[in-house]
Order: sequence, then structure tokens, then C-alpha cells
Amino acid sequence: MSDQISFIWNEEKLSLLPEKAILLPEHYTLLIADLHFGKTSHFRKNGLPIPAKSAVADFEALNHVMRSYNPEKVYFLGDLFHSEENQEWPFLIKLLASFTNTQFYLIPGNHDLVSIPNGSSTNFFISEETVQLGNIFLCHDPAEVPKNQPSICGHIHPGHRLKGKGRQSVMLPAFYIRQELILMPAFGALTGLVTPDLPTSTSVAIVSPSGVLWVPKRKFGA
Amino acid sequence: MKEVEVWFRNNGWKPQAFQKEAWKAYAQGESGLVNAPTGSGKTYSLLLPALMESKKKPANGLQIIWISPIRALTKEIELASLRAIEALGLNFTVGVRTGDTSQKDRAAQKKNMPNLLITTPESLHLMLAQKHYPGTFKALRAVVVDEWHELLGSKRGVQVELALSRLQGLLPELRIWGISATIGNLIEAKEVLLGYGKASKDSRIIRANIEKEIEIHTLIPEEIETFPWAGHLGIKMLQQVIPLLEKSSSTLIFTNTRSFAEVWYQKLLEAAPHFAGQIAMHHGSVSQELRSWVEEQLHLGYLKIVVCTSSLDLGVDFRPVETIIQIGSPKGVGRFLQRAGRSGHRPGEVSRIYFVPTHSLEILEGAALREAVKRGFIEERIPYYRSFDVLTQYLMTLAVSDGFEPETIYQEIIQTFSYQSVDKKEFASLLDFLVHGGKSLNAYDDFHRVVIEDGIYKVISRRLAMLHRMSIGTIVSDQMLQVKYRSGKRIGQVEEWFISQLKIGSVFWLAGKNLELLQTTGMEAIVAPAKSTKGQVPSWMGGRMSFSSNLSEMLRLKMAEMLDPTQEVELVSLSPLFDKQKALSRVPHALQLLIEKVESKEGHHLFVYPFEGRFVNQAIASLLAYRLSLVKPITFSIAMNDYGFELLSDQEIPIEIALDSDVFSLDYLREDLLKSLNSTEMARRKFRDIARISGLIFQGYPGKPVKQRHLQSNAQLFFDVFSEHEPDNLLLKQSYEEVMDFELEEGRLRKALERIAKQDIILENPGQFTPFGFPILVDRLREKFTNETLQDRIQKMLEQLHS
Repeated sequence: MSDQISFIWNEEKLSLLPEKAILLPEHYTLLIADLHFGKTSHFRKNGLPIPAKSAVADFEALNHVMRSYNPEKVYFLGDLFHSEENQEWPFLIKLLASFTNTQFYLIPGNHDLVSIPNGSSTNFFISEETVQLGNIFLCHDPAEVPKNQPSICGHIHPGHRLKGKGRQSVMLPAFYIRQELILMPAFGALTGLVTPDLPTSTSVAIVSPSGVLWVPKRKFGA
Repeated sequence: MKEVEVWFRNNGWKPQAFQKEAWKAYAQGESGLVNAPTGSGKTYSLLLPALMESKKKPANGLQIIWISPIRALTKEIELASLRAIEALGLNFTVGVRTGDTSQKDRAAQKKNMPNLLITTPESLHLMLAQKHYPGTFKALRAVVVDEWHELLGSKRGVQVELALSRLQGLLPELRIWGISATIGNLIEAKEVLLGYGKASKDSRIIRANIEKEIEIHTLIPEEIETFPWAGHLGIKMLQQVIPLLEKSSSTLIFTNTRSFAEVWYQKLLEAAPHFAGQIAMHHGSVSQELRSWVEEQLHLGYLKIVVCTSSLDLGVDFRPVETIIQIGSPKGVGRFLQRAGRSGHRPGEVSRIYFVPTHSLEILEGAALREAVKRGFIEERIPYYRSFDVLTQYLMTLAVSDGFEPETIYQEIIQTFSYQSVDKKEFASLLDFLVHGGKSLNAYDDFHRVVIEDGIYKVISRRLAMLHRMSIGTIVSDQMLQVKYRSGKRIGQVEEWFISQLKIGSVFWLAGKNLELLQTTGMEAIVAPAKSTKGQVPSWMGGRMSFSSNLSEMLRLKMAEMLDPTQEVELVSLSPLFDKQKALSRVPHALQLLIEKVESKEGHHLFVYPFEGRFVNQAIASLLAYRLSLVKPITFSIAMNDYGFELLSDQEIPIEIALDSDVFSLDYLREDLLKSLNSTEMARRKFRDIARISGLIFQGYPGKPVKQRHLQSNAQLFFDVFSEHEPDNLLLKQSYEEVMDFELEEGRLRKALERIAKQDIILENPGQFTPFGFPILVDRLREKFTNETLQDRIQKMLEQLHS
């Protein structure tokens, strides 16, 4: 597919997906970071009248990415839930249960205040805070990656500001790729964008409406 | 009022005609508006009859509420009233209640209200948010709103309208008085203040009719050839300002922003160190203690120079100063006159003001201001209309105190100017918003804000009530940090983002002091005096003001006069600059609209000079951008000042084609403007304030537990989700209406386009930037416009990076 970017990173094959997720095809695994499910309900429960409909978008997006790639395993890289348990929670469990061939693992993040008693769901589990998959490590916060190990993280909600002639600029969700670290964009719709403070040698791939694109001169490995 | 007249006589004062008229009208139970300038005795025109009435008819508890727009003034009113009470031998208590009033004092007031309470609109609303508030107002006879002209054109004015509607609902006989400086719409000002209830029936405007002679001097730069074409600071004029300061026993230097005040203060001390000890600074972010000290020292005549901002625009009883200096454009005639009036208070004295331009073209404003003053042009203050954000906040306020019955409150608010046209359906949808949070999707939704019990709308969550009380107000600013010494002494406040980009040990300026940042804890920044003299100056965020239509008109007049031989000093001094403009392009006369086309490394620039003031220029820019985008999809970066605007694009701008098809036409004006709004970010920006005022977003407090931070959000997010899911939301619509009314100023725009229709359009290709264009070009505050697809824009930017 032309709308995704695939390359080898630390001897692992991976694809940056336009759905703001990462596919590790040899592990049949999909990585998703920072959904912040339940942000809408959490706001509403606390008297902030965000339109209730806005919660639906994330369900639809998750459904779509699952049907498109049909992975065996999904790792949520933290902040799956926005805060404490709320009414969107059972909907999510139900949605995940409908993908009977997939196992879901949550690597807990700072927002995940819920605890699922293991066994309450047949295909959804809470994992350790750091998970090894082949040559690479998965965790939520890039500040807590295992030392000198290639890691994929979320937490930051990275974006990249593209600048052009005539003082134009546009901010887009982005993947940041270095030799030992990949920062994933946030999957959830109700999240902001932050430009991470990384060395200029870092490669950046933006998520545009038509797919993932390298930002020139910063292409990884080039 | 015999005692009063005796007291006046003993002091060598003579009651003025307007004071006598006000005393009589007040005693007769009327309401109204006193139109009198600062320093004219306006306070006593209403304070004295109120006090005398209390003597005649003693009562316990709160009898008079005096609303003042700024805290600094409350102290002066307090002193003025204490003086009168003592002289007249009255048994009457006075108290002040503002954001600075301690918790202890508030509690004491709650138990035992003073007879006269001096307060601000926000603090008055806070009183409405207290349980059993009607009891507090039982004995209330009158509300006086001081400096009403200052509140009128802001949402704080709407807050006053709402509070008065409630108080009138509780007390049908309540008298309402306002005090206002001269503005262009005094009659409307009275109407807005009194509303359409009983108070308006028997009411009048009392005019002081005090004429004052005003001298306006423009400081002409010695070397006009090297004076900058652009800028806001005017430090180049420092050496010419210093002699004025030497000569004068007391001077107020007005700057347009707090940062500029800080810079001027520092630079003055550097250039003239002997001023140390005689110079001080006064602005809204300096701590209350320091400000009071400055005011007192000024009052006693110990200070020679005070660098200040609009924080010293108002004031009852300042000892007049000798000289006023205005740095940079005052943007409006009324504001300029008010500042000028700070000097030569006494009848018969001349007010003297020096205007210091900060860039070349601004010199012309000196002449424009003088002309406007000569013609007696003073701006109107346009009241806000249908501000649903303020209404939402107000309903919440009533819900957290005793709860409210919707029909009662609806009947009260439609008596106000702002909400007179709100229909039952709109009111119902606001209630719905508070109770259900808009449309609910499913039965599980646990939205909790306002609940209904026995027909009473109330908030039962103590946490929500507390959060609401903390966020009452319509002044939207970023989170502020208190700046303190280790000893606890407060210096002032700065925005959180400014401190957050400093490192520990960094040096910054505040209140004229060099401060080293030692640590930040929660909402405080602890500092120590710094040895280094190089520090950053905080820039406090704040919108840019626009030229009023009056000033714009005078500016166009002076611009046209530039073409004829003239004697006026400003115009003479500018001739080298205008010669340059003529050589490169053209100086348009009154019947010409100049457009300049320039290509540079940055892209294609189009400069247009309607000389209509920043806001109307922006409106014309948006309209032009939209109509150009119909020729081909295009993206613009838009900059503007009070003279003109710039459209900048990466593509060639098809202005010739657009001009052929009458691009400035009045046809479909409103439709096109609304469409252009969707391609810019103006409404989105307005929504920021609206979301905050209406309580849509909760401003988090640093140092609070994680759970609280999970509720932090930004207005952008709300704007997007509302636009997508609830496009008919009243608050969302309000953001568009506010842009149309206050930024694009549709009314003024229409007049401007009618004028343009009679002008010849001159298209020049100067080949380089001109003296007219340069100040616009370098402005960093820009608007975006695009109707290209996101994908096309990304593609182009990526290609530019490749090449």
C-alpha cells in the first residue's frame, strides 16, 4: 500500500500506518498509543458539556483499523482510558470482545487509573509496563524506556509543524524515528499535538489525509 | 443638603451646578447617569446625597453599593467617603470588597455588612453566588456604577447589567446611577445601565459641561531620515523625552502595553540614572501593594515620573500632574483626552500632552488627534449584545447559591439591553445545555452540572460550586503566577507560560526590578534581586486595539493634506518619508485607493491601504482574500495595521482579474464575510474567551492532583467538536457573531466599501517594499486564510523542502 511507510528498524520490519498506528507484520501485531477513551464521559460527568457524540469517533476509528489489518495481537501503549472507570468502558470491552481472534494488551500509562481484574475479559489483559517484542521494547513514557534498548513509545502526542513559502504552516500528527526510539502519534481524536524536543537528526513522518509521508531531508536511514 | 454646603464652604469649595442637580435628582428617588470628567467632583455628586439620605432614614446593613471597574479605584472612593462621613459627623460604615479582600475580611463582612460597599462587577457576582444572598441586599437603596464608560464596551458591562437585573428583581424601588466620562453614545449608555425596568422610567442624564483647554504636542524625531519605518516601542525618542521630564515637576508616561512600560522604565533609568528614587512604575501586573504605594507617593508629590499603562487611566482624586506623555498611538480620541485630562485638573488650567511616535508614519497621528480633538469627535463605546457566555456563567452563579426559577430570571434578563431579544426557545436551550450538556446520546450519560428540584435549578455538587466560584469573571487571561521574594513580599504577577520558559537562575524584569528566578512552587515564583542587568521582559498577552472610526477619518484627512503645501509641524516633518513613498509608488489622495504588488523571497505580497483602522482593514482583507480565492484555490497569510493590510501567498495573486470583476462590491457582503470566516481562525480565537467565560473549559491549577488535570482541555478542542457535532450550539454561534460585530465591524465595513466604491483603484508595482507597506510586512501577528485542500498544501510544502 502506498499510503503507509515500511522499513526495517533494529532488524524488525515495521509499517507506519495512516491510521496513526504501527504494524509489526512479522509479529502479526498492531501498536496503538494514547486513545484516551472515555475523555468525553469524564468531561461530561464533571459538568463540562462536551458534545456526547464526540465519543463515537474513536470507537469507529478503532473498529476500522482492526478490520483493515486483522492483527493477532494489539498492544495499547498506555493512556487507553482517560481517567477513572466510566460508562464508555463496557462499550470498549464489548468491542474488543467482538474480535475473537485477537489478544489485546494494555501497557499502563499515567492516565490509566482503571484496574481490570485479569480474567474479567477473555481477550483483554494488562501487561507489564515494559514489554519486549523480538528486538524491540514497548512502553508508554519515553522517559522510562529500558536503557540502550530500541523502544517504541506514546505519551507525548507528537506533532510536526510543516512550514512553507508565504509564511504558511500546518501542524500534523507525526511519527518521530531515531536509531533507538520511535514516538507514536496519539490515536484518540480528542487529543492535542505537541512538538517533541528531539535532536534535528531525528526522522519525521507526518500523517496527512492521503497517508504517511516522510518529511524531506530527515528520512530515517537516508 | 445644608450641612454639605457648609462643609464645602469651610473647605473653600463651591458646589457645582451638576452636583446640585444630582443631589436633587437623587433625593427625589430618580435614577440616571452623571456625565463628568475625572477630577470634577463627580464622586461627591452621588456619594453625598446617598449619605445624607441614610442620615435621614437610618437603616442597618448594606444600603449603597458602589461599583468600580478597577481595584485601584476602590481605595480612593473609600477615602473620599470616609472624609465626608467624618466631616458630616455621620454614623456610617464603609467597606471594600474586591479580589484582593482577604478571606477573613470577607467572612467579617458576611456577618456584618458595611453600609456602603465598594466593589467590582466580579465581586458583586460572587456575592450572588453565596447562599441566602437576598438577605444581604434587604436594605439596599441604590447602586452607583463608577466609570461606566469603561465597563460599557466590555463583557464586564454585561455582568453589571445582569447583576442589576437580579437586584431590581429583588428590590423594585432600587435606584441605579452611573458616572461616565464623555463618550459618543451617552444616551445609549444610560439605557444599557438602567435596562427597561422601573429605574429607566424616571431617569435623566446630568452633564457637568466642563470645558478644558488641551494642548497637544507631537515630539518630532530629530532625524526623520534615520527614524524607523516600523516599530512599537519608541525607545529612539528617549533622548528627546528626558528634557521634558527634567523640566516638569511631575509626569505620567503612558505606554500601550505592560511590557513597554517595563522597557521604558529600565531604559529611562539607564539613560538618566539621577531619576532613581523619583521614578516608579504602575501597571495591572504590578502587585496591589506596590501600586497603592505608587499612587500614594504620586499623591504626596514625592514621585517625579510614573511609567504606566491604562491602569492609571481612571482615578477619582489623583493630584493632577504637570505633564502627560503618550508613547505610541492611543488608538482613540476618547482615551487620549482622558489621559490628557490627567494634567491641569483645576478649572481654567490647560491640559498638556506630548505624543511620542514610535515609527515614522505614526507622526501623522499627532496631527490627526489634534484635528479630532478640535472637532470634538469622541468615540462611542459599543455595548455587547446577546453574550450567551456571560448569561451561562450568570445562570450557573444563581444555581450555585440558592438556585433559580427559570421564568423569574427570564423575565428579569429580557429587561436588560443585552438580552432584550432572547426568546424563550433560546433561553430553554441554554437551560438544556446546563442540565443535560446539550444533546444526550444514551440513557447512561451521567452529565452532572445543574439539577432540577421542585422547579428550582440548582447545583448540588460542592466541587462544581467551588470551581464555579473560582472562575467567575469575564476577563480571560492565561494562568498567572504570583512573583514573590522569599520573605513573602509580593512584586506582581506574570503569565505562567512566561515563567515556564525560563530556567532557574534566569533573570527577568518585573515592576522595574531585575529578578532572578529561584524556584517555582504551585502558583508562585520565588525570586531574589538579580545582579545582572540583562533580563527578559515578560510580554503579557492581550489583543491589539484598533483605530476608532473617528481617528481613521482624521488620519485620511491628514493623509490627503500631505499632498498640498502645509504648515502643520507633523506633516512638514514627514515630507522626506512621503517623498520616498512617492518615488517608489504613490501617495493616494482622498479619491484613490492604493494597492501595491511586490514579489520577494517570501512569496507574493499584495498591500492595500484603506486607512480604516486595524479591524476594518482586517475585514476588507478577509473579504478580498475570500473573493480572490474564488478565482483559484489559494492560501494567504494576512497582516494588518491601522493604515492597511497585506495578503501574502506562495502563489501569484490574481488581483487584476479580481479588480475587473468588482472585488470590493457591496453585493453579497454578509454572505461572503461569513464564508470567509470559515477559512480563517477568527471565530475559533473568539471561542477561546467564550468557552472560558461560559465555563466550558476548566482552567487547571498547577500542583493539583492528576484527576483534576484530566479535566484540562483547550477551547480548540471544543470548537472542533461543536462544529462537527452541534453546529447550532448558541455559544459556537456567538463566536461568529462577535467576530462580525466587534472585529469585522460589519457596519463600519459597509461604510468603508461605499467609500471605496467612489475611489479610483491605483495598482502599483514598486519593486520593493514602501514606507507604507513596511510596518505591515514586519508584523508578526497574522491571520491565516486558506481554501486549498490540506493535502495540496502539504504536498506543496513538502516539495518546497525538496527543492
